[in-house]
Amino acid sequence: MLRMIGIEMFKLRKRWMPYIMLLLLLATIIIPLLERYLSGATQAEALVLRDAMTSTFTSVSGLGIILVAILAASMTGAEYGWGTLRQTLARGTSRNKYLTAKLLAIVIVVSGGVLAAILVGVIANIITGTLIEGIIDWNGFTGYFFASLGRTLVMLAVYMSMAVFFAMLMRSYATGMAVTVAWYIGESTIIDLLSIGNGWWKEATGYFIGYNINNLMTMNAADLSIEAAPWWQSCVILLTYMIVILTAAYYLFRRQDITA
Amino acid sequence: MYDSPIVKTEGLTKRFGRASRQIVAVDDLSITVRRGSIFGFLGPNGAGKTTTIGLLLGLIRATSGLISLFGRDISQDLPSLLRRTSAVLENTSFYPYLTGRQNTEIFARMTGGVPDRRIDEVLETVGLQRRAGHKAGTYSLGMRQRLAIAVALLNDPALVILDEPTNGLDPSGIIEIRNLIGELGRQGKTIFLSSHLLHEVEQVCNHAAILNKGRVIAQGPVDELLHRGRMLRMRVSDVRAAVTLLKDVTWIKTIETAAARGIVRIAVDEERFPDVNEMLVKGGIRVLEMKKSEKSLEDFFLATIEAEKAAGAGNA
Repeated sequence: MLRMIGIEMFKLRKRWMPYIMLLLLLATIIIPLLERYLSGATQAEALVLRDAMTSTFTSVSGLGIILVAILAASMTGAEYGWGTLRQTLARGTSRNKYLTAKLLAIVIVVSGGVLAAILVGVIANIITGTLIEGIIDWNGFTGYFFASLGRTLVMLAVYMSMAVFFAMLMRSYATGMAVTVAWYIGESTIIDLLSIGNGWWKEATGYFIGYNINNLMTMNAADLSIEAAPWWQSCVILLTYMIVILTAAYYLFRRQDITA
Repeated sequence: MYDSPIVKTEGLTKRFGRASRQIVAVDDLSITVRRGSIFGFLGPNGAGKTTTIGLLLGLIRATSGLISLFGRDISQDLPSLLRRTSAVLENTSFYPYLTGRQNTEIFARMTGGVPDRRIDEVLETVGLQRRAGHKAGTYSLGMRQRLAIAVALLNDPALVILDEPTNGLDPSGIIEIRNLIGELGRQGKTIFLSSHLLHEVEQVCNHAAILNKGRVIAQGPVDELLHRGRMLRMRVSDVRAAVTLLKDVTWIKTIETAAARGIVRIAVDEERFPDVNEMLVKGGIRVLEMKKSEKSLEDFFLATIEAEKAAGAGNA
């Protein structure tokens, strides 16, 4: 298994795509801080790091979902298009092992990317905060940091599973990515529509992926006034979705005919 | 040497699509490839050759029937059976952003236990060492085909499955690959060669099966298949009279004529040649020339396909 994960990491390491994605993510974190520094505006006596980090987590989870969809769909679907999947399986690689290695490689890369982006956000906030306010207030930061990191990874994991599943189903990374992003955007619209009125359908939105993602994003934004459901409930619902989608992905892949 | 079957299928069937619009790609296919043989798998486009290879390699799930490799059912432990097998698949592609060498390294790591010097050896064998540092995306079809063969040779397989291996190669490349197949055969490897180049199969293979519309319509040793197409070619003084004389003879299978040139060709066993000569002479027909002509496998292949078509039209 380690050998297969190593191969997946090697294949990804040689592509431009993950580096471009990471740069894009870092840009969305650093540019607002740079603007803040250049404006020189000081609003408080000390920079409360916990509050300052909300914009970083919002960027990572918001843009991160799109980037994860692109990365996971590309890592899975491109193998169909290139014809390398046939070559790999024809060499005696077990399908379960192949898919597991692929998923673990995506998890490693996404976790590494998220962690790198957040650490850059922390460091950039400390630097700009020190330069502008002069003092950093660390109060409540550690708890918030780990809770938000966990929530962010759960959010991304659901869309990672979805992108892998759709890329395999459609045998194409472009379609897999498009369907996942369309789901992400489309579901929000459906939730908005169902939220009009007070019928059972409004209650049902609580079990939608988008609803629970929004809930966790709101918590990451530290705006607890509009928390709609407990964080653990959203996490359980999202992880259930992830398990169901991944089970479907394994089932599909085991039965799929890999034709030219 | 040819005793134990390395590849065996029994009643293998693959249907694609839903019940209302089902396509039968492989229909009740039963073939046996014995150890050490070079087996040619012939058929026109769409006959089901690539699907059959996909079924053998577990890439495609069979609708029904059995497949065994090395005497073991592939449903039992496909990965371990495939580790003794290598395949060059039709239109094989590689990671376009990796070099030829990096691609080979990836598949070597997947296989496991392949030393670095083996990578150099196989690249050398297929004549790609000079371009091994270039990205596979810049390779021509022929170069990709060579790379696929290099990858197939990495693990010193007991069974090599080749699907149209000379596609896209120039004439010298085709000869090299043909020689390579011969060399692999001499090393005792079992070769399963799917090709539309019939003369290639004729030159390289010792056994063959002919596939049409997913069904095997003939199979056996290549010599035997060629024997089935053995003809007696004669130049006679009166073609019409010769045909009248020979047409009711039960042991003459077919009669073809080229009247303008005075040629009559008949399918008949070799030991009957003197009898034919005697009949014609006794019938007052002068035999100006008599020659044994062997149909090529290509002629046999085309004739068999035509006969199948005619039988199909007759049934309809």
